This record gives sequence, structure tokens and C-alpha cells, in this order.
Amino acid sequence: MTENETGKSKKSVGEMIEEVIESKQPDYTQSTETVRLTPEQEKARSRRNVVIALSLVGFMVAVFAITVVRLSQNIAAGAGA
Amino acid sequence: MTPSDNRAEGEAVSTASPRDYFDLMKPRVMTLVVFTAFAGLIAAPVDADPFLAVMSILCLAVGAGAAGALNMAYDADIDATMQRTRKRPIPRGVVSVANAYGFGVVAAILSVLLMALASNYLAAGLLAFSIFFYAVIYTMILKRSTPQNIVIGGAAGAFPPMIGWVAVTGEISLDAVILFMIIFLWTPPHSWALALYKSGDYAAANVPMMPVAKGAKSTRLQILLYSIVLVVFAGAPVLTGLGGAVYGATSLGGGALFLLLAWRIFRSRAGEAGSAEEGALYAVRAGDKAARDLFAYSIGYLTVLFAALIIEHAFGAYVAIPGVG
Repeated sequence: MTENETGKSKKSVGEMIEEVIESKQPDYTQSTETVRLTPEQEKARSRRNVVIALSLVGFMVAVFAITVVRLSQNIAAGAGA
Repeated sequence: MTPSDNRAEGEAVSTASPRDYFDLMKPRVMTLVVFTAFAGLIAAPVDADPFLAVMSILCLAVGAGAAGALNMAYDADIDATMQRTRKRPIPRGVVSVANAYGFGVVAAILSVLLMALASNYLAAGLLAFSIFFYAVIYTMILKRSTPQNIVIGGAAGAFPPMIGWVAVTGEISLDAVILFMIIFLWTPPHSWALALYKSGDYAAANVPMMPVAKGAKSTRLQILLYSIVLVVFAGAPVLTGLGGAVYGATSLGGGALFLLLAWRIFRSRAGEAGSAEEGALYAVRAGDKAARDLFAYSIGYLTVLFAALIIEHAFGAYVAIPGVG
């Protein structure tokens, strides 16, 4: 930061950009919850989230594996024809 | 809570665990679905890719579970009234009706899509239709309107072995239809035996099961008649060559005991002593013991029939019966 002729401090462009970026950062020190949960509710929600995540991963793996197996079968059938 | 914390209490946030959602899928029904579908898949005259076969069975299980969740969502009012079902996740208040619908619809869509990828469009279409049949035709239309509800609705539970068969063959053959028919004919005596000793439960929930709508005597007669048709029809796989000596012997012995228990119900006063209002699935008053016995045995009968097919086709125990098939 430098001082101009009137004595006021002048911010560099880099400092201004940094300021803008910082102003848009969420404050992670504050909770983003809109409702207050009991420990039991939080625990249950975490468990559900884990199972949903595992299910989604399982679904993707299943789609990938089935696709690979079907492709292999079709390639083998094409080579044999 | 800090002084600046002005968040609302999260009373509406669920405490449901993954286990509660699993219970929505009716795990006991899913077990029978997986078993019969596996039998259909193994008995089919095609060497299936083991991985794709397992995936097809998994899709069937999830699809059946999805149908179960949709059933529980729609029947939440009935389940809350009946002793037998009031401990299910929705009546207990741990899962909301909306969440159960959401869970059921998502599981149904994913299972059908994955089935189409793992097997073929016909199997996926049959799976989609069976979910629709159970959730809409049976649950939303038939169950509350006619005492023939489980006769027609039983078709939904009869699809799994046919879907297992179609998943590996790509077509609906006579043998696939026979497997379907065995479960279709098995459902009425099985369900009515339960309804006989739980009739008070069904009456309280205004569900027109046969003992409630037509009385215990008529139900006992119909159980006997359906049992005769079932036991005779269960011999059909022997005629087409689908079942060999092991299946034939199992069908004969198991069928004889089934008829004996059905005859005992017919001669008893089951369903007239009132229901076993308290207790678990098998809790029963003395007068209803015959009904309880057939209900319990019918599950074993179906299991043993399909197990015989699995043993014959998966473990090389198939011995053709001379002059038959």
C-alpha cells in the first residue's frame, strides 16, 4: 500500500483483488445449519449420508463393471463371427 | 446454544437410521424374492455370466424392496392400526410418508435401469411392471376394495422366478410361466391362513380380506380348494422336464403334507375364535392353530420346491423321470 499526494493510502490492484476474493469467502467458523439439531439427529443424518454416498458409489461401480463385461462379451462375439 | 444462535429447533429432522430404510424394503419378502428368482435363473437352460446373473438378482431384490417401500408409504394408516405392522418405520414415526415414497421411487428407477443394463429390456420391463402391479394395482386399488385382493395381487409376488428366467434367456417360455403359476396359486392359501388367525387385525383396519368379507367357513373351504389346485399344478415341472426325480419326490411329499394341513384347517374352526390380537406373527389362540401351522408350513413348502430345482440344475442332481417330460 502506498501514500498519494493528499496523504490518503492507495491500494494496489493486487490488494483490491485480494479484498474482493476475501469478501466472498463464506465464514466457515459459523454454522451453516438453518435448524438446531439434537446430537441424535446429527448422528442419524451422518449415518444416512454415509449410506447414500456408498450406494451412489456402488451404483456407479455396478454400471461401470456391467458395461465392461457386456462390451467384452460383444467384442468376443464379434471376433468369433 | 450460544446467545446469538437464533436457529429454529430441528424437530422435523428425521432420526431414521439406514436400518429403518432397509426395513421399509420388507427384508423377509426380499429373501423369498431373491431365492425364487435365483431358482428361475439357475433352472433356465442357458449358461449365464455369473457376474451379470448376480447383478440381475440384486436388481430384483432392490426392485422388490422399492415396491415394499411404496406399499408401506401408501398403507401407513392400515399399518398403524394393525398389531402385526404397527412397529414398522412409518407408524413408529421415524420415517415420513413422503420420504418413504421418495426412497421407493428412486430405488425402483435405479433397479429397473440397472436390470436393463445387466440383462435385457424384457426382464427390465417385467421388473418395472411387477413393481407397478404391487404398488398401484394391488396396494392402491385391490387391497381395500375386494376380498380377491391377494388372489389377483399375488401375481406381483409370482414374477421373480419368471424375471430370473427371462434375465438369462431373454424370452418367456412355458417353464417360466409354470414357475410363475406355482407362486400365483400358492399365494391365496398362504395369505388366507394368516388372515384367518389375524382376522380381527384386518377387520379393525377395514381391509376386506376373505375371512373378514366372506367369513371363516368360506375361507377355510377356499384354502382347501386352492391347495388342491396348487399341489396338482406343482407337478407340472416334471411333465415339461424342468423338474427331475428330486423335484418330483419333493413335490409329491411336500404336497401331501400341504393337503393334510389344508384339510385340518377345513375341519377346524380356525378364524372363528377371534384373532390373536397381541403378539408376533406366529402368535395364535388355540382354535387357530391349524391356520398358523399351514401359514408357517406354506413358506417351507415353497422354499423346498424351489430348492429342489436349484439342487437339480446347479449341483448336477437332475435325474429325468423315465417316460415323463
